[in-house]
Amino acid sequence: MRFKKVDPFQLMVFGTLLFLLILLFFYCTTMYEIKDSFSNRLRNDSGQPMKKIIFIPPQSDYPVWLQAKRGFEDAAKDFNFYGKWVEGKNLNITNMVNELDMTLESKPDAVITCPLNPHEFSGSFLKYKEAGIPLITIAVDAANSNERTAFIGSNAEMMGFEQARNLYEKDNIPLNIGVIMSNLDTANQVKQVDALKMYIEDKPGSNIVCIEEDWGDPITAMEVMEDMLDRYPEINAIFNTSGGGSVGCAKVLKERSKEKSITYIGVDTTSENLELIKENCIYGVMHQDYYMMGYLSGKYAYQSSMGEEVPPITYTETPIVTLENYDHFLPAIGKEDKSHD
Amino acid sequence: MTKNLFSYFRNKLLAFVLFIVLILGITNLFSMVYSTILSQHYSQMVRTIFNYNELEASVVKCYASLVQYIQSESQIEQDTYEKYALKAKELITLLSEAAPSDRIYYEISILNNIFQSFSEGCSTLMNAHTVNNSGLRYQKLSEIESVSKYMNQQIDDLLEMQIIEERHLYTRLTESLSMLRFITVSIIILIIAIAIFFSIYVTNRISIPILKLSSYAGQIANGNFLIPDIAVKSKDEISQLIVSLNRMKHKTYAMLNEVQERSELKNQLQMKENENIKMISSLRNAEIKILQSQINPHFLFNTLNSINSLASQNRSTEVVNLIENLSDMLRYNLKKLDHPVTLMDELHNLERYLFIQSTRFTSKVDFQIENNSVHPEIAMPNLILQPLVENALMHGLKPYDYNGFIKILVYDEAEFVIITVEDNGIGIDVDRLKKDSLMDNGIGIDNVTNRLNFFYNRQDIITIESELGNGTLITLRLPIPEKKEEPYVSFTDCRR
Repeated sequence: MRFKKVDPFQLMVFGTLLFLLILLFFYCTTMYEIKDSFSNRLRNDSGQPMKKIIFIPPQSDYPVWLQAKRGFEDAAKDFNFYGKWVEGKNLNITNMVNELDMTLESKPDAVITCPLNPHEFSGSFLKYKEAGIPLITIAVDAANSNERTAFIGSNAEMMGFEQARNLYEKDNIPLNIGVIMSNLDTANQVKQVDALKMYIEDKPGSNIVCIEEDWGDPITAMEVMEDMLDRYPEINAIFNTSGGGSVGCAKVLKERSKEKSITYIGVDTTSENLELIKENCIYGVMHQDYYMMGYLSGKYAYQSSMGEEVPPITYTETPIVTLENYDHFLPAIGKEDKSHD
Repeated sequence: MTKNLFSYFRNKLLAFVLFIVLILGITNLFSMVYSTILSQHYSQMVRTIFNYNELEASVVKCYASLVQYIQSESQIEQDTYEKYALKAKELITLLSEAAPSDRIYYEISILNNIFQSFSEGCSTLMNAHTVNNSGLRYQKLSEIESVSKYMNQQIDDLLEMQIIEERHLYTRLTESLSMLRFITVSIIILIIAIAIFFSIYVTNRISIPILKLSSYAGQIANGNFLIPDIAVKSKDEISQLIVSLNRMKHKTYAMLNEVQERSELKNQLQMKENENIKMISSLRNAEIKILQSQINPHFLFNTLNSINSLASQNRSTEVVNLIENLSDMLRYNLKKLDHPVTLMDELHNLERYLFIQSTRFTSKVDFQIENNSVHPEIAMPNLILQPLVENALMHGLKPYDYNGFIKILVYDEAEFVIITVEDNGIGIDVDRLKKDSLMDNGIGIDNVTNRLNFFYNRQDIITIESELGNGTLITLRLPIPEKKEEPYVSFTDCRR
């Protein structure tokens, strides 16, 4: 096969032209990207400014609240509102109340929060009610249902009951139960513990040995756990309502080789907790669907700000997660980790 | 050869310069745009930080003015408050307009709402009629302080948020700028490479062909027209020059050849003309000699004596024969020398001559003619054989007092008729024979030779072999024509 001899100059000309085109393409693409970066002004479909909905979580960087954040952000995209996630706040009820009061001054279209101690939030909630700003409670309900617009969260009594039943039915033996709460006044956890108390009422030989609080902190949880086991060596079950403390508690159980002799059921499907289940350090945790809570709270807050009616109470599912089914929850954990990063 | 846009060096050079300018122009233009954008962005970022600080300071001063006003109720403090409140509002508007993202825009919108609450609270407090209870007044002031602190905290958060966002954008821009620098450097390297390539290309396509062309032209100038043509590989100006030079070489060569051929032809014609002149001269000379021989008194005297002697002896028949032969011979000799005759005519004439001479010399000379040729009609010049025999008689046999023989033999050999004239006379040096060509009273050998050569247009017709004391042998090789020629009308036939 013979090829036509090409003039090197023509080759150079066409090569240069090609290069010029690539260069222009690169420049134009970069310019477009920069222009796109500078003109990042989003408006809703109607061309009106978007609704401003503020989410005040008790722990902005705790894994389950990051799941809720993801749900809230997805709702913001789906319903086209500006969702502000208040960062850097810790589990301090006074600060949360203050934050709520100040947020009111920014005249938001709706607010979402978790009133860990509902009674202390009542004053602030009433201000919202007076200002006509929809307020959605998440995970923990307000002290009075008329203080808020809607509640989305787990059914604490039902979850406590299921947690107690699983704890008992694991070995079907009389239980000496140690209870750990993040805060003794946290309403939903109080309801959980109340459900436990009710459950073991008709279980002969079973009783609650002690109730402690760990403030949701793993280090505090370790101290609490060690003290509890020292003082009450007869404990053969742990009923934990504080999601953040399980890592500390499990460490103590492992150190004392009590993983098999003490049945431990905590709450929240964080990656650390699932890892503990996988390693057989703890028996299981109660799953709370924080993503769905975040999503629904965003949805209802938006609908309320638009003057629409929303369900006053919405419960999300609370299944138990053990070694048998923990892998079903891994995809959700993966997303949570990504969000956390 | 079809020509395209880049066939000519001029277009190539223009294209090269245009591309370089275009690439550099685009690169510089975009570099400038990038630098401007980056510079503007940087200025905007600095201005934004400054505005946030200004806003924070304005809020603080607003609150301070409010506190002062409550304590003093001074108009100056109220004016100061209003001044800073207005400034804060303007700054918020400015920041909102310059918000780099949707998030910042809405955060500023929230901040604006907080500021409105703050302003409303301040206005309420400044209105003494509205709030006249001092306890309530200070409670309200406390709330406003909280709002101002909250607002400043929001401003700090917003500033941090904006710096982070701006940093991302700035990072992107600097990354783009780095990429641009890389591309610019690449372009410069590319341009250098293209320039080097172009230089080599131009050297190869201009200098080398010109050097070749120069050498080529030099060889042509030295007369070497057989040098191979320079191959034409492109369609540019140099190639056109090469094509023209090749064409010029071929034309010049053709013209030179033509001139040379004409010159040679002219020379040949000149030579031919010279030969003709020479031949005509020979013929004239022969004719003169023949005329001379016709009136040769010795020959005629001797012949007439012989006739007289025979007549006195009443040998009338021989006298008649002698007179007839003399008469025919004289008539034959009167024939133009440039008129060809046949072999037979020549032999008849020779027989007559020999008859006369044999009458004269009776038994002294033995004449023999033997004709074995089958081509008696072939053409030949006249008066060829008689001079040869006469030469043999007068030069060869005379010193021996005419005692000897002369033998004429005619025969065919291949494509020739061979005629030999042989005598046993004294012989002669061949060179001298040719030089002293003329007989005393007849036609010389060289005359015979010239006429034969001219007639047959070849140089090998006659050969002479002779040795002093051993006789002479003259051989004529008359070529037999391939085509059958028109038979010449013989002298004998004419006479009849």
